[in-house]
Amino acid sequence: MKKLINLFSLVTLLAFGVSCDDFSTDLNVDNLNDPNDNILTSDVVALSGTAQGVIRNLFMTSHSTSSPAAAMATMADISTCSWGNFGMRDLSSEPRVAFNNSSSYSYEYITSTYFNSMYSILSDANTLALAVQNGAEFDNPEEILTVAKFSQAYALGSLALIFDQVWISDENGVVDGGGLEGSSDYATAMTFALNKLDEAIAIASANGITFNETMIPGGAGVNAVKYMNSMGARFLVNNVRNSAQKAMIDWGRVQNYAENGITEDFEIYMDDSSWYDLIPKTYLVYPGWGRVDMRIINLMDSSTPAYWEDGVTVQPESTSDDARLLSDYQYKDGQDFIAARGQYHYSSYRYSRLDDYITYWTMNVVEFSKSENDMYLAEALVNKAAPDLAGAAAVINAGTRVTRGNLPPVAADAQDIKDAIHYERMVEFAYTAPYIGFCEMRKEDLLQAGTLLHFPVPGGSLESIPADYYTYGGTTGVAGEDYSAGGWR
Amino acid sequence: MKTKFSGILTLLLAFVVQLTFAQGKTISGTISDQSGMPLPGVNIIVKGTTNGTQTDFDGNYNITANVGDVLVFTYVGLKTVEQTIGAANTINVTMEEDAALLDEVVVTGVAGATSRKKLSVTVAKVSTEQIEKVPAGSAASALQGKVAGVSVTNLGRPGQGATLLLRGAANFYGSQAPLVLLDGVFVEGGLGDINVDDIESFEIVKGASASSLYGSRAGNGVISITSKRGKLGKSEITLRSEVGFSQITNFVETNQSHSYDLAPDWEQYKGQYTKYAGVTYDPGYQGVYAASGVNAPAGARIPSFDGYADNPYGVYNDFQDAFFKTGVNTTNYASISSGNDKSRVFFSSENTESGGVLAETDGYTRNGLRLNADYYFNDWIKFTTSNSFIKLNDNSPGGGTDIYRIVSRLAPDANVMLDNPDGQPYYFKPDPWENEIDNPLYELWNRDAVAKQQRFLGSYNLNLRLTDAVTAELEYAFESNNYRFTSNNKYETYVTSGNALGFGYSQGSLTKNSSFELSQKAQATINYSEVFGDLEVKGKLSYLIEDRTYESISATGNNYIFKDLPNLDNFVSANVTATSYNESERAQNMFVIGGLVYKDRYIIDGLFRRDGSSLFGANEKWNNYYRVSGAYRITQDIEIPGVQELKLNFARGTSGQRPGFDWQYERTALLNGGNLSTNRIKGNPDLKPSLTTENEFGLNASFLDRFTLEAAYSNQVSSDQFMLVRLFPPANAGKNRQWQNVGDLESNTIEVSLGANILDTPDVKWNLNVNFTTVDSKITKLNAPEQLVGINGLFLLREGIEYGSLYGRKFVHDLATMANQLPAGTSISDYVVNSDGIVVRADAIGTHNELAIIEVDENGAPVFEKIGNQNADFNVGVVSNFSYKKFDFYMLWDWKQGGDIYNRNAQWTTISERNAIVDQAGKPANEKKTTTYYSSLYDTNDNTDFWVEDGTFVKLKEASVSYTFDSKQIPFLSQLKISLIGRNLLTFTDYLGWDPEIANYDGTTQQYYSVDYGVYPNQTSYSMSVQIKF
Repeated sequence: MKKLINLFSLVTLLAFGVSCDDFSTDLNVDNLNDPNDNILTSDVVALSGTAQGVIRNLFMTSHSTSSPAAAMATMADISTCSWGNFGMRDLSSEPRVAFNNSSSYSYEYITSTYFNSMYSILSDANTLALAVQNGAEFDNPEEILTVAKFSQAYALGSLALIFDQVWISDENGVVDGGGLEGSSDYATAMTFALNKLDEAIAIASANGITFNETMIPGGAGVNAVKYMNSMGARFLVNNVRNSAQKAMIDWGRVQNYAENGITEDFEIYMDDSSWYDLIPKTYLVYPGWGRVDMRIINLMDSSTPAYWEDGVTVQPESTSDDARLLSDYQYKDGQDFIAARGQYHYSSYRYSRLDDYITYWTMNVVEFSKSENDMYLAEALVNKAAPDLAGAAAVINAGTRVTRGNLPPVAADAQDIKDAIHYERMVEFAYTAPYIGFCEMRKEDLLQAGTLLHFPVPGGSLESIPADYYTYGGTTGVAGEDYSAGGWR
Repeated sequence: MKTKFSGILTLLLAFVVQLTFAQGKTISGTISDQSGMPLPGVNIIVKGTTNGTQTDFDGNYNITANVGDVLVFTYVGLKTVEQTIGAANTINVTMEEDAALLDEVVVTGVAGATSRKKLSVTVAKVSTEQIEKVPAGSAASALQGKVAGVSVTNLGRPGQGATLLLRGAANFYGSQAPLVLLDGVFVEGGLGDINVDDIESFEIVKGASASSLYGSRAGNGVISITSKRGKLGKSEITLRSEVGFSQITNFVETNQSHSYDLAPDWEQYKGQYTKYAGVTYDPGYQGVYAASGVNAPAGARIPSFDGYADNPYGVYNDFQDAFFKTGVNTTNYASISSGNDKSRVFFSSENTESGGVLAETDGYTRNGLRLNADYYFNDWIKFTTSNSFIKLNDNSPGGGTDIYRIVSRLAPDANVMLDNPDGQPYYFKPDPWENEIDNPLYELWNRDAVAKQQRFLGSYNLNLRLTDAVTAELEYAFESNNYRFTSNNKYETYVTSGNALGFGYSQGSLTKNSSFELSQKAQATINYSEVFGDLEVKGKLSYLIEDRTYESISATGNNYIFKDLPNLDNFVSANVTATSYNESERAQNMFVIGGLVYKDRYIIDGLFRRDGSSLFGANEKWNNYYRVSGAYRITQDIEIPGVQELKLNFARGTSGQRPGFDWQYERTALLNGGNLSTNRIKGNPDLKPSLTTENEFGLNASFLDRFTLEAAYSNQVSSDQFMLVRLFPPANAGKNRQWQNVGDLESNTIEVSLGANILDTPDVKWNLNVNFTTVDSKITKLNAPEQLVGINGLFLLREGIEYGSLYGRKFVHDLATMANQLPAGTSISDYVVNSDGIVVRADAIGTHNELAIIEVDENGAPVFEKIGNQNADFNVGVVSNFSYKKFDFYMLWDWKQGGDIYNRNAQWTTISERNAIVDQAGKPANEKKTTTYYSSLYDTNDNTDFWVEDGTFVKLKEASVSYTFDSKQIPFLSQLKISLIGRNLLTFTDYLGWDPEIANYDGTTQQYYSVDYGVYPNQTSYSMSVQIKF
């Protein structure tokens, strides 16, 4: 008996140290770190949460270093940087070569991450739109639907700007475009995107919808309808691959978008946590990183060469009638880049207008400048079937060319107006949103020969279909449609 | 429904206690070992009969026999004793150890304690005698070079321990580290914090067949560690103190020249700064970088016409000398062991401080307490406990992974010691012409980051002898791990910025991480052991449940409001972010194992295990494992001249690895602020554990009375490999990856250990052990697109290639290859192979046009080919123990043949021409090459064959000389041992980095890779140890 008492005492002693509450053997364990698909597609609270963050995700995807934005700035000879990071050197090397679209390429992430991210956002947007369509009990279904439609448009439009083909889907399912795995060409995708944008604008206008501070911090969300109109102009103008395609742009629609667009700079508050701008506002301007391509300096000072020839160690400081050379640009006599990588990457200026941002990091920054919207309006006026040259000149002369640059007003001459529009795009707002400078150079056939005009579907994604490898650039693809047949040099 | 632990206890309480009764003349006695420790479980048999018994927990026995009978006492690992019964009714026996290696006893992975002579699988054992010669800093490093089939790569940073790989790699994704048990506790927090002074022995279960008993946790093998316990008899106190220092003894060579024109009067400024042509300096110039002001000279340097980096600097500094310090290491250890017939206690305390070798950086401090208490209540109840508490302080170095590259990238004339404008030491931008370079000494000095950790490992075992043949065990074990990390960047911390100087205050930040982990297991086991004449039978039936929870929280504040107040309240609320994470893992496992030994020579063994785990996908909750093995002791049947023992064995078994916690789930992560991540993973309810199947052939022999030989061949195929496979997002609702079981990884291992007792006289003894291991691992199946993984995406997962292969670009190295890619208008005669073995234009040698040419495919795209293999061709460890009287000389040599290293540091320093190969000073004119050429070798830091180096090394890994005084020399002590100890004393290698032992951790795959970037180098250390026992 004593033995059994001893045994019982010991077992009890052992058991005291173990709490049944802390020791379970149930093999069904939930993951409490990530919302699952069931929640994300059916729970109204979760769907509302998704809606609050979807525009932020569009911004962060577009401004990420894991996007082609940095490379496209150097491909367009707007910025210059010979560092290999983000594909900048490979894609701006001279002569231009085909883009390495292999999944093993060191910088394959610049297209694959962007591609993956945009389609995940499109999926979220479709889910939101479907939830509204199915009668989910949102507090403000019109707001949700506005965000959903705008995000569908933004995601599809952004994919169309960058890639040769797009897989279209919305709340009604997949749209079979007849291409690879049902893909559509970039033009079809943009048309679809703009229709979604128009729906968003219509819903927001009819219901007084604005983007709240969670969706877009910094106060500009109250101008949601204007912002979406400006985005329409941006997408519509920038989607063409060459100057010949400009004729296909519905300039009347551009004019309409621009006239209903923003009337002041559209700013977003960077909190350096959820919102931050890596490209273009950090790595294309940060000391030691990107500099301003000499072509841009040459636009402001024709006595400064547009191209840095070998053997030159220092360019003298430039002078310009444009006051912005002094206010927005900083002269540098020394170089950060390695001569052996090509002295054509050298530059005597960096963009200093964003120095406050790269010092303090938490502040409002311009995502869509009024000047950009003005230029779409002016471009529409000068290109529409019945050009309004005086109107276009007036728009330009009321804007940053004069107010910031202190340049003389532009004459009501079509070419002068077009030149002035191009100038403003290069000098005034090349560092607000990504891609817009590249798209301008693409539209005007100014990209250096061999520069790819759009990216192929990422190689890793092709492998996962699986589908055959392809790429563009150099002499690969169709000249003038897939790569530049010749540009500013 | 929860299965409660108490249910198992209830089940075991239901066992019926059996009683046995003796008859006739009774002989009784106590059996003990040489130290006086009673031996439970000693088999006693009347010779020539089946009449037998076993000793109880206290070593006591009773048996009925007749005068003149012979009692045979047998116990695994001890010499068999025979005693003839005379008039006395009491026979006490002291059993001695059997010195032969093959008589060691193994308890891990087998049905019961088994002599290595009778093992049918391969289990290695390392005892305290083998590790105390040069006590390792932690248990992780203690096995290096000592056991065939065990690859150990030391991690240089204090407290980090080492990586362990048993036989070949078994996983595409997921740790290759073996399962570790310490006194039955599943060690989740690593071996780096476990002190070796407490360790009695390691048992290393290398292959999947031997480790089958541990099922879905054992695909990487098992290491079972037993700590020291109290011994019966007089209390023994041990004190050990070791003091020493560590240092980097091999600095990386760097370029001491530059390629810019010097000012005509540059020599006037020697000792101040390097004065270049084309640059105008302010009189106050201090030889550092600034965006403006006196330290921003006007103009730009003029590249020399010839492009050769052969011009002198005005100032020369040795930054590695400043960056690396001599670190002081101390270990103080005390233990007391005592015991009587009712209880035995072992208590120890330990303090280790390892200063590390980085300047301005504190290292690692560990305090440990251990209490192992055993209670023998009566002849059938034993209760044992193991308790270990460990407290750590671990300072993490500043500068991140980049700091090691930066220290070798600084130009010799950089002014790292200049104070900053505000008086902080170590000027932030010390390199006059590199605004990217932050002062590594500033980064180290400014760093204020420390991890504080407290671990408790406890195991509690209740052992009930139900009959002579049957025992029942209840065990509860746990590890708890409390972790706190604080990193404070003070307000005045410099960062690069857009202000006038080019850098300014960050305004500071504070990060606090906290985590808690509790890993528990409870196990109920029935053991059976009985001898039926010539047949020994052992068996075990066990049920094991596991529960592990982990939670963490992290908060960061940016931009202090008040200076010098490192508190999270000291930030604007909008500048504080927080995140948290939880994991919960549970498992239920059951197994049965049985072993038969017939006539001491025919051995078979079999087991079956069934595991259920919450980590398995919803459709794969339960998985089965098995083993069958057999062995034949040939020399029991056939006498072979000169061969004392020869055993052959074969084993086939399975084990596996569990998926990571969240691999089965849909994962759309929540980011800061509740935003959804756009990098999404699709769930996989069909995800199952990987399955490793091993066939092992082994040979054990002892011959010529002085040699032992162990050899094994292992073929293991790890199928259902885990891989994070890419998905096509448009077809998967925006999800771009999924964890899948995708392929097979096959490893073949040959391991041989040869031990020689070369000299064995009363005064001179010399034992030599040599072990050899070669492993090849091949990806034999991959049901997914190939994938680059590891550090810098250097390692390819592709069907048909060797696992661990490095892939990347290649330069053209031969004219035949060049002939296939000739540019238009050129012929092969236009090209030659230069002195670096690279094809260049023949007319460009020594000019700016001499450029390395990338090999391209038929489409003109750079090739993507194998450029290296990180796996060693073979490893050899040589352990020599030589003693003369009371002097003891010990050496461990470690030879790793092959195994490539990607020297990213060397490649990256070439960007700024700092690599020593760029230095052309002193070269004959016809051998000089331009910086343009070296820039082409740099290849924009792409993964390129030129930067792959052979990682072969031979190291004198450990060496010691010791002298032991005994109680005759110092009466009041039982022992005084004084040792001089060295670690990493000699290294023979062609590798150009600091040290060829490179293990670089990649969080995505949870594995280590041989990429030398951001790796804290291993050091040479010297110390003196004094050990006292009384």
